[in-house]
Amino acid sequence: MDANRVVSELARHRDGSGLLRGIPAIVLVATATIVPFFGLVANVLGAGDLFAVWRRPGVAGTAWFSIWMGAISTAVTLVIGLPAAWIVARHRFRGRDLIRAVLGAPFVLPTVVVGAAFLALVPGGRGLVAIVAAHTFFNVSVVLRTTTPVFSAIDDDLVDAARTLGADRIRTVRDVVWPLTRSAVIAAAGLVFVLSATSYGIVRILGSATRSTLDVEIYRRAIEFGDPSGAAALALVQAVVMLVVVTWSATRRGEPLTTLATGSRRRLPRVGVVYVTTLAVCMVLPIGALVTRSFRGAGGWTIAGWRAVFGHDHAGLTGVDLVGALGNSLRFAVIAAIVAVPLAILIARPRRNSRLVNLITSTPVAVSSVVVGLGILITYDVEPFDFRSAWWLIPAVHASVALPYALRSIAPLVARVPTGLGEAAATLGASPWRAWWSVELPLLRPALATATATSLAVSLGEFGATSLLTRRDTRTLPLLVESLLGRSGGVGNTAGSAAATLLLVLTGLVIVVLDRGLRT
Amino acid sequence: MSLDLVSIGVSIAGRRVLHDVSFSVPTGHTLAVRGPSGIGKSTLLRVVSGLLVADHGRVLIDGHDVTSVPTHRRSVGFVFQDSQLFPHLDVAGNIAFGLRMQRLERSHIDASVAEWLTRVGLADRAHQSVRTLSGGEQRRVALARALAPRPKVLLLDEPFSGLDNELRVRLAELVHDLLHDTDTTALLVTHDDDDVRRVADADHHLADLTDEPT
Repeated sequence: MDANRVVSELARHRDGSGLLRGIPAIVLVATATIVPFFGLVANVLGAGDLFAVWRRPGVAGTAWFSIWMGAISTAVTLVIGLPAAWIVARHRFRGRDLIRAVLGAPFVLPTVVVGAAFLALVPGGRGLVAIVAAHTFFNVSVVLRTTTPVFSAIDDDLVDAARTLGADRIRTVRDVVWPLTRSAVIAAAGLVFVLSATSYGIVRILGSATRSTLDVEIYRRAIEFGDPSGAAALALVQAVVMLVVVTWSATRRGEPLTTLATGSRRRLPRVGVVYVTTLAVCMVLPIGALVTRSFRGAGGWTIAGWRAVFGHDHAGLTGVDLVGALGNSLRFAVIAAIVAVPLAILIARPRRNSRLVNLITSTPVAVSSVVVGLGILITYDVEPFDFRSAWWLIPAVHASVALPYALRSIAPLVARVPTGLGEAAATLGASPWRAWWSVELPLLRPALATATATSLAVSLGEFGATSLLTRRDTRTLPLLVESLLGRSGGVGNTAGSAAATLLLVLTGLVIVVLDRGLRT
Repeated sequence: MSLDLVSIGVSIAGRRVLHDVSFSVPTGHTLAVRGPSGIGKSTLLRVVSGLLVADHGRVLIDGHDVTSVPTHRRSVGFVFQDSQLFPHLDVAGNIAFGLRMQRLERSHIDASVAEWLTRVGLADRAHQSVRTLSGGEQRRVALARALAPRPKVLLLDEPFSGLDNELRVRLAELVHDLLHDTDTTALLVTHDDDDVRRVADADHHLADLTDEPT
């Protein structure tokens, strides 16, 4: 390669290689996830009781429950969610935008809110039915968000082309639609399984001694039974299995879609409209039940729950500091979003991205946040690395949990910005930086709004890691909700529902103001 | 501004696409490079614009070696085969883009955009979204956008492909007139002999530009 070419290549790639741009994200994820995880691994290997804990009563059953409950939740979610995603992605009909918003909303709801809502909705409350229903409610929105961009990009003409070439309806789906959507559907399924099997906030509220996931067991061992080594042994096995599932499903490569089609021009059959409308109504039910529950006491309608949450009329409830929890939640969320969104922009360039960056930024999804919290407790307890009480620790963990979600909001759109636009900008005198600023960034604006809103919502709802890392002065709103709902008798359940409603409203505001406001 | 290519050679994925291509275009002239699709005509334009770095050879604009100058400092206009209009900007915004990159005064940019809108016959479409334009109108916006910053060299990649015959003739005449009015040096690649006749001062088959036979 001659000197001229080297100079020119450097000039063209001044915006940095994929790996270089990924460094800030790698530092964050390494600090908040990877190093704690390896600290946890070292602890398990050092203690040498990787298998001892499995012989404790109930542990193996818990692991088995995580897997089959995760599989059932995934199957139910896909059966219900995929047709709905296909319909709202491709067809125009009256009320579509509203239905789409309702179906996609649970994704950003805090898990404790979902748990509290199904506790209020399902007769008898805790148990398998409530758990699977809650997971389906939550994960249909995950399916919707992961598959919609791909479903809507399938051009009618492409399907028609297959039909004119002699493919019947089934063969068209099998030989044209499936290869084009496969990677998105598999990625969605993998994500749903992992989210269900490692479910924590929902199961803390809706589970029982026999209906409990590994994540809840890990928390109990570490915090309630004072057995962090046993918890670590469980966490290791769980994390390895989940990492394999996520890596496998996220790296399935499908055929890239290059069309800019935005859905189908065909009319949607009536049954389709009825289906998605019914589903949307079902999505609203648990929320309605939650809000109602916050006004229901043992003796009928009451505002005692709300009064208790706001510190009046304690009615036997102690340690309720709503203002403190609210302040902590908001502060952590803002810091997490300010960190996560720019890092996501830096790495959201699939064309020249490094596989390493992709892998590292999906670990916060694969390694459940309870495992992360435990890893931090175990790893960062030695000077000079005793970060357990550092002010930035919880925000950093929230940012690293939010990062993959921010990335998922941005990356699909980045992939659809034609390369030619950047080249056109260059020929018009735009430096790589200005081309990015004045062409790519404006085209990404809707995605950036979504990424910011999602990051805030993820942080507001983060419960797993926070529940292990919290101290008296860093309690957040989700922790308050769980602790209130766990109190038997008195006004606890009503107050817990009220606090959950408050968290719900807060999250809703973030989404409506940011996601809807900044999109246009 | 003259354009000279000296012994340009490019291989892509191990396949030799351009082999020792040399030619000159005198100031204000339009050279057409003909040839069937797939023999490297577009690659040639990418090399001249700096979007692609040649394996060897040099590119000279106005006598200066620009081989190692990045695209955005070469001052070459490029009319892409598929226009590549910026979908988030309106017609005027697209035409103004290159002028904004030169950090010209706002009033100057507005005047220039208005002038170009008139020249390409889109004065009443200034604030229309480019997504709603017809194919022919999009090409005219692309043309105005490329010429507005007064590039030293204009590169045209099959600028009339996909248009019906009447539009094709009218657009070709427009290109011809604009290039003459602005005295712009241009390089046109096409596989259509009629395009060549309507626009170019001279033409070559790409195969004839190779220093030694492949």
